[in-house]
Amino acid sequence: MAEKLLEIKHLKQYFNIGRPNQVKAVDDVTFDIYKGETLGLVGESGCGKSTTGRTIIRLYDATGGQVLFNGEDVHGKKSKSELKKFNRKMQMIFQDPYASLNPRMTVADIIAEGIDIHGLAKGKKNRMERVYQLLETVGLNKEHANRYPHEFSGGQRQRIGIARALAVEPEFIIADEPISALDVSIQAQVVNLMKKLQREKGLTYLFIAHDLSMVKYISDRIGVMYFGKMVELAPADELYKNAMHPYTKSLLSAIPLPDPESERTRRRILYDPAAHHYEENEKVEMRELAPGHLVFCSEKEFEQYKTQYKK
Amino acid sequence: MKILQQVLFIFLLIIFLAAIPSIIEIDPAEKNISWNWSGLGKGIGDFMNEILNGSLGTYQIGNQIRYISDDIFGYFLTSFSILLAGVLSVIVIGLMLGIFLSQLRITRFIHMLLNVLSAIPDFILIIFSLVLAIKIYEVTGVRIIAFSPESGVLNIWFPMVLTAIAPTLYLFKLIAVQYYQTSAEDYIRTAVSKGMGTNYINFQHVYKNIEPFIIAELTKVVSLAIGNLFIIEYLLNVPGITKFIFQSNQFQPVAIGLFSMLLISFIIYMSIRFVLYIFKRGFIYE
Repeated sequence: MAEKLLEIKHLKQYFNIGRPNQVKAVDDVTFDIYKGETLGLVGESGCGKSTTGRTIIRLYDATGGQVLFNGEDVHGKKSKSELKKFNRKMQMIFQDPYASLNPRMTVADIIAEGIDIHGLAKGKKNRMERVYQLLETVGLNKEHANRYPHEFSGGQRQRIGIARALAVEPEFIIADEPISALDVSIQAQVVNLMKKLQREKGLTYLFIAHDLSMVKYISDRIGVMYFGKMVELAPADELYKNAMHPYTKSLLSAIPLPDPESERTRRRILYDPAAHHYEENEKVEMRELAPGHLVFCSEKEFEQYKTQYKK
Repeated sequence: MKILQQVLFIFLLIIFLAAIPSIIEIDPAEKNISWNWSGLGKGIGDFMNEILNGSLGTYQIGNQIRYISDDIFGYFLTSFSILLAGVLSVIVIGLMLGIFLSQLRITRFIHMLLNVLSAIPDFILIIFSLVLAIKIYEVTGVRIIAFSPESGVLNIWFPMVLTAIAPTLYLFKLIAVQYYQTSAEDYIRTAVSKGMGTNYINFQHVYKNIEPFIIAELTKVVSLAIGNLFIIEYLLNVPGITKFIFQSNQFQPVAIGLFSMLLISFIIYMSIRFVLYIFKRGFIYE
């Protein structure tokens, strides 16, 4: 079994605590991410996928729970140097390549910002050499270094975003819907680039998305979130073959197929959370149905899922 | 070519404004207003003659007739120093409260206060400040203002403060809105996720993106300050350039006064641009 890189334990992220409009964006979520793997996180808009990613990287202070990175608590009290070390190991790629690059900075400065802060280059020449190298790594060239973000297409900008993340030699990258804002033809290019970089540099990804077919393509394991909770977590193939939670089934039934005949006959499964009929003190938690396949259910549902499960 | 057109247009506009008192005639017997366009030609002719003869002409204060050239330097300097100090404080306060100190709790309270004040028209704020200054003197005996031009600093510092009020409220609101908009951008989140400090983010990311808005609004800030200067110099009896405009309705001093005001606003605008440039070069990595 691969080594755990990240352990998320009972993570909670609430907003407007104590007010009538309190939101439980992430509510008691637990999962692990192993070194070198890609964990896909899917779910509808507003289910808490991005908030989970942002809480992991400390953009938000967690309301509760723990995030352990290489066994160290990310949200625990840390000295400046410890924080700096942590910030270098974990990077984030954002959804909108237009908004994620500072329009008033050149590409070289955007990429080199991390290099400067962590003192990874000796002198200006070395700094620029690293920038050129990173640009080439993501399929751009050194002529692009002195241009501004508005001079690039969406796909090129996302490549710049990836180069910026790679600049500090991270171990773990949170990709928050990195392809959602891109043209379909460019999406595959960016995903393939990410896969290539993962192979070459041994990176670990948390890939947040709602394009289920793309998530299946890139992910080793997939977690499904609904209303701030993780409802199912399984290896990618297993999830598509043996989805157990009704919400996962509903989500999978929404994947469009490039076949007019099957699209005409496709039946969309609707999910109704009330259909679970949980009793007041019934314990609902993640239960392991098969090795690595966890479903959020009650004991009664668990027994039911076991009988339905196809080996 | 465009600049030449603009200069010509501004020149003609100032000439026309200066000529208005000599063009409009009121007939008290008939109780109507008549237009005397020949006054425009005569005024421009006299003005050009004086300038070409190397003289700025004369103006009248009460029963006294004085040479403009004798007083213009002092008046110019007074108006210029009031306006420069006022606009500089506007920029400094706007940037400090709007960006660099916006995280502090006390700044949030000041934000609220300034938001309330910005709903009050500027001339009411000026009159209210004058009343307040008088009340402070009545209660404590401390003199904050003086109406005599011979009072030195006492006659100057209060106008500087008053000149800055309305533009500060305007610029501060603009910067605060831009700050909140910019700080929600993904590149700021990226910077936060990289562990960069608030000051670094404010200088390198926020300021860089707000600066173009500040520069674009600078002309408006200067014009607001000049608008207030007219009221303040008149109310506080400050010996500034507006003396040429308010003390007489002759063509020559009004035209000279308006041209001087234009020159002052141009120098102030360029000085602030220079200060912002130095600030950027000094504090922000390019």
